[in-house]
Amino acid sequence: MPIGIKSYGAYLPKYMLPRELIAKAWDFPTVPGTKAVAMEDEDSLTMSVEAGLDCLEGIDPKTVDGIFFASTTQVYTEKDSASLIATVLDMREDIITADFTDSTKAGTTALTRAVDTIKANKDIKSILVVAADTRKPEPSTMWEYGFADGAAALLVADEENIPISIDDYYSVSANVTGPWKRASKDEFIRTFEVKMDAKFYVESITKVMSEILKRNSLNPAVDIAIAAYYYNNPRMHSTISKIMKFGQGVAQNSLFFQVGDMGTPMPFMLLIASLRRPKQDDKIIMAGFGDGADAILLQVRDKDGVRDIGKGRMGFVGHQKSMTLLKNYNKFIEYKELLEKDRYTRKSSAVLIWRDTPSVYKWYGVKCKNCGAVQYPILSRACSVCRADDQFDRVKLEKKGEIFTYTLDHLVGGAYLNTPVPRCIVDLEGGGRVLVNMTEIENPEENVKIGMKVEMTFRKEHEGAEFKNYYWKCRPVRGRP
Amino acid sequence: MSTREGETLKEVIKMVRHGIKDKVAIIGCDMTKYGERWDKSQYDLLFEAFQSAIKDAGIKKDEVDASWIGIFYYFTGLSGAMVEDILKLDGKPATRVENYCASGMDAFRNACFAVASGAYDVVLACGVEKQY
Repeated sequence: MPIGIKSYGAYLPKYMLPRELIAKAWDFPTVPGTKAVAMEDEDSLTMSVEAGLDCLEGIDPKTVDGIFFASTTQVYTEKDSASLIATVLDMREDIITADFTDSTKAGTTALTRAVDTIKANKDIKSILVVAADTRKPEPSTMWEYGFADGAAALLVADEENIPISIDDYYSVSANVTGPWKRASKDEFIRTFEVKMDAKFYVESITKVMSEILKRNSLNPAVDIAIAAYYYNNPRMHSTISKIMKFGQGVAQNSLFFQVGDMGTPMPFMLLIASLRRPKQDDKIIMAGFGDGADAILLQVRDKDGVRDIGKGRMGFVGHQKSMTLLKNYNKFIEYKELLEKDRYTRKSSAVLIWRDTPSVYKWYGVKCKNCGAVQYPILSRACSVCRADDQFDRVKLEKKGEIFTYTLDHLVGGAYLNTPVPRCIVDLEGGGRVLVNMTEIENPEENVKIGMKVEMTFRKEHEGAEFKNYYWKCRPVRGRP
Repeated sequence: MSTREGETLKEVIKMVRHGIKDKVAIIGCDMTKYGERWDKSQYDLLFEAFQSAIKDAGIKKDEVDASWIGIFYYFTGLSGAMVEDILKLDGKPATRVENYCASGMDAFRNACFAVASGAYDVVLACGVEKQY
């Protein structure tokens, strides 16, 4: 059976920063366009959960046999992220997990390893590959124009009627002291000479794409319909397209101006954005770059299948439609936590979070067999409504609901950031009443309303007990199906 | 010492000597399994002990009139509502007692006085602690 892409998902944060605000802040010459900016309660892990949820929309997470996570901004350097993402996505325990890190080509590398794994192991039929990055640019450097935040996921599977097949891949390695970040010393990415970086980038990416086309006897000018290759600079992008002799409109080039340079998820995002109007048998080349490059050759096997994937999820377009412009540069500095602020340290417990994994991470509640009431959190063994003892079945809660009531908390957490925080009692679709904070809300005094529809989103809460504490929050509807 | 003061003192001595002896009985009790029970919360532990205790007493949970609970650490809870949260003894008075390591014993002492006073027939004295 052919191995290929069964589903895809994307995540773009709510906010976009117009580049002219960066120019204004530092008195720099401006660069056109906007870039996606994650909020301070988001990181690579939470964005991966969002992209994973989007990808697995309509697919039972228990049917997926593995998860690979790719990022240069993983949240831990000891302790993997893939297992935590798998837990939140409610995947099985007998799965394979791995983190691919340290290079912006980690996404395409993880994808190729997923293909290998599925080929080599008859028990592994599908792997979710999720890439996310939230690279922090040093203020008042040119990196600020580029670095953007986002996540993308591809579900690689071996099955009949795969909508997009993965036909070949090819990689090159190149050791370049290009952009780097020392493991223990650097807060920001450094570089020695950007022109040298650009030279190696162009060489690696054209080499890897030329080789894969050559060994498949494909002519770039006529055989390739979509070229989704990583780029961090629009000028280099068109240079590569010319060197490769791709046809007009083949190279996907609009994302830098719309959402910026997202790092590891960039090739996936370009691919997803290019699949809006799939044509039968279109050949696609995707490439990732970072100390070498990976090229992957794909083909649209079922254009209706591809279109159906697009219809059932937010993908690139659904997220992009619901984005909002930031009104000032300072918000960006705040979201990137580049301001030194005292932050109140809350209490936490790793034991408690492990014990409460089904409710805290997997979003399960209980349903009383006696009276039918759905309840959350899972605290007692006695029903809150009918008081019956030991009558609970565990049930998965919906991630949509509406505000039953709320209060605006002006003192929450002691951080005094983005206060007041709406603390909401949400009635979930299908039952259950939960207490969660609201995120992605501007001017809450006016905009939070009883009865307003909300979606649940997985976010970073705080770093109590010196580890990352995540939990669900609600947000105004962005359009998740 | 006046006669009146002497009479009062005699009564106090009598009460101390006599106390609440034979006025209150323990009709059922139990405790949780010993161990490092990472997988159980305070909710699970109290539920487990309570269910066994009412079984031991041969009564239903609705027959409990009021409860006293000994809790020291705020991590476990800060009010008598812990009993209500866990056992769902709706509408029944619940009091948290905090008295360092004697919290559990003091919950029991107060529960005894409540029965001895005649205010309640059946009360629950319990203690639970879970630091994380």
